[in-house]
Amino acid sequence: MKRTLLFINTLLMALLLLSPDTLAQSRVTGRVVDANNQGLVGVSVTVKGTTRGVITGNEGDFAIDAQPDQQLVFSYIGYQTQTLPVGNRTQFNITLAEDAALLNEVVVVGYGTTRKTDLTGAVGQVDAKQLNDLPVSRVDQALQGRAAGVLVTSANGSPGARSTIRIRGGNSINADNEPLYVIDGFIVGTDFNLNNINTNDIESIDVLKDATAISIYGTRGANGVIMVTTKSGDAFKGSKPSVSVNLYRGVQTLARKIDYLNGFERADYGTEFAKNSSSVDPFADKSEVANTDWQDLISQNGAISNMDVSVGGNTKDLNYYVSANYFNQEGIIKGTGLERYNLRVNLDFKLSSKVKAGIRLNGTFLKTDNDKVDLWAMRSALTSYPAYYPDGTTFWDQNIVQGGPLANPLADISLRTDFTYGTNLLSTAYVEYSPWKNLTFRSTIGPKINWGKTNQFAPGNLPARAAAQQGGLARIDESFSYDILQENTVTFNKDFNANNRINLLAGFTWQKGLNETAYAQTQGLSINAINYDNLSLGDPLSYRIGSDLKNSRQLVSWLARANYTLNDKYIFTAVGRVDGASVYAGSNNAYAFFPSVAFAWRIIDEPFMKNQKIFSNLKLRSSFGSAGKESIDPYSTLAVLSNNILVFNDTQTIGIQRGRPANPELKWETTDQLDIGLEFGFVNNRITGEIDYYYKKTKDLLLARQIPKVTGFDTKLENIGSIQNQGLEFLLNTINVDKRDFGWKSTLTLSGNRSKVLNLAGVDEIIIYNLEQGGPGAKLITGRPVGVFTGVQYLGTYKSQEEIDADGNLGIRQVVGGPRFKDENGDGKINNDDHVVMGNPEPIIFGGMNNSFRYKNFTLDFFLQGTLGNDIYHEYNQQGFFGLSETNVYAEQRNRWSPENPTSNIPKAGGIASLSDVVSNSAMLEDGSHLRLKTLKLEYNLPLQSKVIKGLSVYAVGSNVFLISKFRGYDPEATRFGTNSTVRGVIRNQYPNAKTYTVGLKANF
Amino acid sequence: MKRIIILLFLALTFTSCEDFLSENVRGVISPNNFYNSDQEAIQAANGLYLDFRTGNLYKGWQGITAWTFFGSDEMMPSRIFGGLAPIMDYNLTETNYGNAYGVWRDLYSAIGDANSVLVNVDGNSKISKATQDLVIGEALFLRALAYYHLTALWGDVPYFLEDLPLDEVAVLGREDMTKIRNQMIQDLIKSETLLPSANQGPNIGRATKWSAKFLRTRFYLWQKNWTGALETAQDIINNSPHKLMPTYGAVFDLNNQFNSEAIFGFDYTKDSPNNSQDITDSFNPRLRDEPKVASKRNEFAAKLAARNEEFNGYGLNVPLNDLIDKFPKNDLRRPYTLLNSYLGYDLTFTYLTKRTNFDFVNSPRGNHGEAWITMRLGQVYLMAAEAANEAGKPSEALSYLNKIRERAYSPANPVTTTNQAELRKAIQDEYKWELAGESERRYDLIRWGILVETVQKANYGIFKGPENIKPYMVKLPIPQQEIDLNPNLLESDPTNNGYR
Repeated sequence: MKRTLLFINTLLMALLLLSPDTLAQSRVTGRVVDANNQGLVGVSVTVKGTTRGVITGNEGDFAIDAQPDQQLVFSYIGYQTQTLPVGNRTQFNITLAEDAALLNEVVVVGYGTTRKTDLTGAVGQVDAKQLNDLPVSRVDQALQGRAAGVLVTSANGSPGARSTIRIRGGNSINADNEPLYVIDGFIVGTDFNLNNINTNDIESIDVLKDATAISIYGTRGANGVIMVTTKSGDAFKGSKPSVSVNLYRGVQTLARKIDYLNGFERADYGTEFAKNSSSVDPFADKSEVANTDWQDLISQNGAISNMDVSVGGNTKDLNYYVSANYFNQEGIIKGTGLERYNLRVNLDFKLSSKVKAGIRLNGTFLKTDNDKVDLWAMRSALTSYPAYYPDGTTFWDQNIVQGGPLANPLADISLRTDFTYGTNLLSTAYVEYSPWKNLTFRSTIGPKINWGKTNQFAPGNLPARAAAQQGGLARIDESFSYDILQENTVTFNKDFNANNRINLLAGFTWQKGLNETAYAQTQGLSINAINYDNLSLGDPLSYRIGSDLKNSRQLVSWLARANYTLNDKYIFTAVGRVDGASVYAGSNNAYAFFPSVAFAWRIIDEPFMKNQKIFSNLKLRSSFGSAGKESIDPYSTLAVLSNNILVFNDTQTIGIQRGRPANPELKWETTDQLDIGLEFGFVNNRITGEIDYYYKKTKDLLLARQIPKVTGFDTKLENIGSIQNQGLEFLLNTINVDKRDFGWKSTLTLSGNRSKVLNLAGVDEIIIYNLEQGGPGAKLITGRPVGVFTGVQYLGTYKSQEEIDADGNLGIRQVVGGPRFKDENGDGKINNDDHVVMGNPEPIIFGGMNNSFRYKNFTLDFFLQGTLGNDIYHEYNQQGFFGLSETNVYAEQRNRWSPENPTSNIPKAGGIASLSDVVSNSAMLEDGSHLRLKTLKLEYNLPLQSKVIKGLSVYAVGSNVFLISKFRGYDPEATRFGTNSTVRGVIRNQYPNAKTYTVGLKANF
Repeated sequence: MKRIIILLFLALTFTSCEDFLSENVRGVISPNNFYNSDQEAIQAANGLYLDFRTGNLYKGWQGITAWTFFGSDEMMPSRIFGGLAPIMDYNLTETNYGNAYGVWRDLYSAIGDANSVLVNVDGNSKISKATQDLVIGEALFLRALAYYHLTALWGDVPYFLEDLPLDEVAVLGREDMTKIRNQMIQDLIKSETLLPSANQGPNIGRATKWSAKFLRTRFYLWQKNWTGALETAQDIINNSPHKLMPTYGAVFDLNNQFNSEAIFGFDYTKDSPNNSQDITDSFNPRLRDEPKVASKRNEFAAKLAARNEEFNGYGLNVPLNDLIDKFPKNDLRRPYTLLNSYLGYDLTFTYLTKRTNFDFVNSPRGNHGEAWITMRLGQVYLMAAEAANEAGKPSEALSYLNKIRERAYSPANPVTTTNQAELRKAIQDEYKWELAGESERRYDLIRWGILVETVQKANYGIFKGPENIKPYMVKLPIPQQEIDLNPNLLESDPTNNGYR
C-alpha cells in the first residue's frame, strides 16, 4: 500500500515536472524527520509559486532544484507545514511537528464533546461539508453510505419523505427502530421532521453507536443517536461579518418505469383471461381500447431550487451565525412538492470570563403537497383505458373490467386538493457558569413547537364520488404539539498532569410534551371552488369531528459519566442514566437504570511502539453496557374503550366498544451491547480507519403477539422474546494524493449486520406480514434473521393435465398453463405448512465509497452506495407476473404460457382467477442488491482577486445518476412499510427516488 | 448572579417528580371511568350493534352471507371471485376458508363486548333500573346471536359468559354446542322479559322481545325441539304487533323497510360515513355485463339514465343456476326474486330483484342506505309450519304454510298433503321460494341434514362444489392459526371437524 501510494505520488509529481523551467537552478538536498528523528516518507517538498516539487524517499531524503530567492514548502498530512527561504543553503534537515489540531480533533458525544484520542466508544463522524449543496430537503436523505454500521434506506422518493435508518441493525420488533435525533443538544425524538433543518446549516453529524455513547440517552438511546450540530460563530475568524450565498437549481426525473403490457396487448390479455376463466370479455369492443402510458402521464420533470444566505462572525463578546433558506422542490409525480422557508439564529454571548450564554433558534414554515395518486391503486388503471373521453377534457371514468368507476390517476392529480402546512420552532437557550476553571454548570431550556394543518378536498366529480353521489369531501386535520426540555449538567475536568486527566459529568433533566389533534370532515359539497374552505356547506348527516390528545409524555432523568485517562494511554469510561417515564406510570416499571463501561488503550503511545514504522495510530477500545427503548405509546398500559358513530332510523348516536385491554405488565425494552473496536493509521495517518465488532442482545422485546381471535382481538402487546444483532463495521479514509494542485481522498464504509431471533416466548414463529390474499409473506422465526420471507416454492406452470392429476386436488386452483406450487410436506394440500424460508431482507454487506478529487480550482466528488445480497419481496409480482384480470401485468407476459407456447413458465391469462390463488411463493422474491451512483459533484472555485467577493464557486450535482439493479419495480429501496421495524424489503410500487441534476453557485463576501 | 444560577440549578435538580410522571388520560375513555349514566350504558349497548355491522358480518357484501346463502342451493357469485371461492368450490381446508376467520373473530368480539357490558351494567347503581333492563336485554340477545352463528358454523366452540381476562379466554377448549344452545335459550327467555315489544322513532332497528323470540325459535329448530319452536313461533304470530304485508312486493318496499313484517334487521343510512353499505352493489348488475346483446349497451344505458337509474353495481351476488332452474314459473314471488330482463332487454345474468336498487341518486354506488332485514314474520310462519309438521301436527303445519302461499299464488295454490315427508319437502322448498337471498339457506340445509346431497344435485355453473363437497364440510374447520395459538381447541376433537 505504502509503495503504491509512493508510486502514484511519484508518477503525479513527474507529470507536474514535465513543464520545463528555463531559469538556472541550484541543487538543494536534505532530509525530513519527525520528532523522534525518524525519516518521514512521502513528504511533499515544493518550490513556492512554481509547479516544481518532489516527495521524500525512504529515509525522508529529498533533492530539488531551487533559486536562492525562492521558498521551499514542506507539507505532510498530519504535520504542520513549514515554509523556509532557500537562501544560500543547499542542505536542509527539517523536523516536522505533528499537527496539534488533528490531535485535538473533537467528537460530539452526549452532553459534551471529547477529544477523539480520548474516545472510548464507537462514534461515526460524517463530514457535513460533503452533504452541503446536495439537492435534498432533509439531511437523512444524504446520510446513506456515509457512516459505517448505519444502513440508510430512502423508503419513499416523494419530496420531503424521511429515510429509514438502522444503526447496527434493528433492536425492536414492534417499536420503531429509528435512531434518536439530538439537534444542538435538544432531544427531538425519533420522528422529528428533519425537513425543518436546513442541511447547509449543519456543521457536523456524529453517530453514536456503542453502549457508552448511547446509554447516556437511557431509554431512548438503544437504536443509536444521531447528533446534529449546527454552525456557530466559533468557526468564523475575525470580527467582520462574513456573508455567504448559495444558490442551486435543477431538475428531477423519474429514474425508471415498470415495463407493462401496452394497451393493445393488455386488451388481448383481458380477452384471453375472460375466455380462460369463464367470464364476459370486457374488451369485446376493441374500438374502445386505447394505449395509455399512465406512468408518463402522471410523472413530470420536477424543478428543484434552493437559496441560502448566511452571516457569521466572531467578536469579543458575541459569536453569531444567522441564516435564511428557501427551498422548493416539485416531485416527479405531478402534484407533489415541498416548499420551505427557514431561519436560523445561533448566538453565543460571552457575558463575563465565567458566564456564557446563548441560544439556538430554528424556525421553519413548510408546505408539503401530498401524493394525490396512489401508485399502488393505479395498478387498475389499465394501459388499455384512455385517459380522456374523445372530447379531450373529460376524464375517462369507467373501469370496464371491474365495472363501476375508474380511479383515473389524472383526475386525482388535477381535481384533488391535499397539502399540509407545517410550522416548527426548535429552540434552546443555555447559560454556562464556570466558577472555577475545572467546574462548569450548564443549564438549558427550550421548547419545540410544531403546528400542522392538512387540507384535503376530493370534489364530487371525481369518478368514484360521482358514482356515490356524495358531492365533494373536505377534511381538515390540525395538530399541535410541544416539547419542553430542561437539562442541568455539571462537569468537572481536571488534568492531574500532562498525561492524566479526569472528566466528570452529572446531570438532571426533565422533558414533557404532548400532541393535540382535531379534525373536521364533511361530504356533499357541491361547489368545487369553495374547496375545503367552508365545511359547514356540507351535508350535516356527514359531518364528522374529532379531537384527541396523543403522545402526552413526561420523562425525568438523572445521568452521570466519568472519563479517566491514565498515562495518556489507558482511558476508562463509566456512564449511567436513570429514566422515569409517564407512559409506564400505569405499570410497575416506571423507572429504569442503564449503565455502561468502556476502556480504551492507545497502543501507539506504548514505548514498544516507538520504534516501529508501520503504524501511525493504533488504539483498541471496548465497551459494554445497556440502553433502553421507551417503545410504547401513551396509555398502552390502560384499558381503553373506542367510540364510533352508529345510525338508527336516520338518527346518529355513539357506540362504545372495547378498544384495548389493560396491560400493566409492559416495560422497557433493553439492549445490551458489546463493542470491540480498533482504530488504526498508516503512513503518517494518510491511511486511517476503524474496524468495529459489535454484539447486541435485546430482551423484553415488545411484540404485538398474535393471540387467539376468540379473544375478539388479533394481537396483544407483550414484552416477550429477544433478538440479537452482531456485525462488523469497517471504515477506511485514505489520502491518496495530496499535492498543491491535485488531491485525491477516498472514504470507504462497509458494514454487515446479522440479526437473529433468539426467543419468541415459546412460539416458533410469528407472522409479521400477510398478503392481502395469499397468506403470510414474512415471519419472525426463532433462530433465523429478523423478518425472513416465507412462502411455497413456485415450480413453473402446469404443462399438462397429467401433472395436475399427479398432484391431486391441492385445495387451490390448478389448471394447465396456470401456476404450480410445491406441496412441501406432501400432505396433499397447499397451505401454510408448506411455507419455507425463501429470502432475507438483510444485506450481506452494505456501504458507500466517496472519492474527492481536487485539481487546481476544480473539485470532483463521486459517491457510490450499494447493498449486496438482500432480497426484496415484490408484492406486485402476485399480479404483474401471475396476472390478474383487473390490473396491469408485466411486459414479460407476452411470453406467457399458451397452447402455442407450452414450455413457458409464465402463467397463462386466467391461469389464476383471483389473488387468493397465488399463495406467497418464491416468484415473489427478487434480488435487492444494487449499486447506485448516489452523488456526482463537480465544483469550480473561481480564482478571484476581489476585496468584496472573497470566494466564488460554481458547481453541478447529479444525484442517483445511475442505478444497477435487477429489480423489476421502480426502486429497490422504496419499501412499503417505510420505517416499520421488522417488515423490511416489501415493495408495492412506492413513490420512486428521482434522478436529479442541479447547478449551483456559492459566494462569500 | 452566581448564587441565583446555582440556586436555580439546585431547585430544578431536586424537584419532586411523582406527580410529574402520572399519565394524563384526557382523550381516552376506559372501563374504569365509563358506565356512569344511563346514556353511557346505552352507548355501550350501541357498541354491540356496531360489533355486528362489520365487513365480516352484516356490513360487507362478503360478510356472513358467504356462509349463509353461498354454498347452498340459492346464491352464487356470477364469476370466480377470491374470498368466495372456497365455499363455492367446497375445497375448504384449515387455511383456505375465505372470510371465516374474520367471522369467528368478529363474533367473539361481540361476545367479549357483551360480557363486558353485562358485568358493568348489571346492578350498577349509577344506571336506572329501566336502562339496566334494556341494555341487559339487548346484550343477552346479541350475544345469543353471536353464539347462534358460531354453533351453526363450527358446532362445538369456545364458550364463556363472564368478562374473563384475555389470557383465560385464549386457552379455552371447545364446549358442546348443545350445552351452549340450551344456555342461549335461557338467556333469550330472560332477554324477552327485559326488551320492549316495539320500538319507535330513533329506536327503530333495536332489538325487541320478538326478535329475541325469533332467535329462540331458530335455536329450538337446531335443537329439534319442535314443541318449543312451535310455541314461540305461534307466540310471535298471535301476540306480536307484526303482521304479514298484504303482498310479497310490499315486503321489499324501499320506502318502508321496517314494515310490520320486519322483526329485526341492521339499518344503514346513505351519506352517513361508515353507516352506508355496499351490499346492494353486490346485487346490482354492472353495465359491462349487460344487456345480453352487447351492441345495445349504450342504448340500454340511455334508457336507464332517463329513469335516474344505472347498472353500476358489482353484478356478483346472483341466484344460483339451480334456483333459477327450479323456481316455479307461476309463483308471484318470482319477479321479486329473479330478474332476467329489464326494460325489455334480456340480461346476461339473472339478478336477485328484491335486493337490487338501481336508483343512482337515492341509492348510489358505495353509498347505499337499504337496511338488511334478517328476521321477518314470513319466516316465522314457515318455522311454525316446520315445527308443527315435525311435531306430528300436519294440519296445523299446512295452515301456516298455506298462509305464506296465499300471497304467492293467484289463483290459490295451497299445499294439501298431510304425508309428513312430502310436507317436509314442501316446507323446505317454500323456505327457498319465500326467503331466497334473505336468510340462512345453508344453515337450514345443514339442520335438515341434506346439505351434501342438495349441493351434489345442484347446478353450480362454473363452480365445483357439487364434485368436491364431503359430508364433514357441513361444519367449518377451525383455522389452523387459531389452533396453533391455542392447541386446546383440538382436545375434544383432534380431527377438527374432520379436516385433519
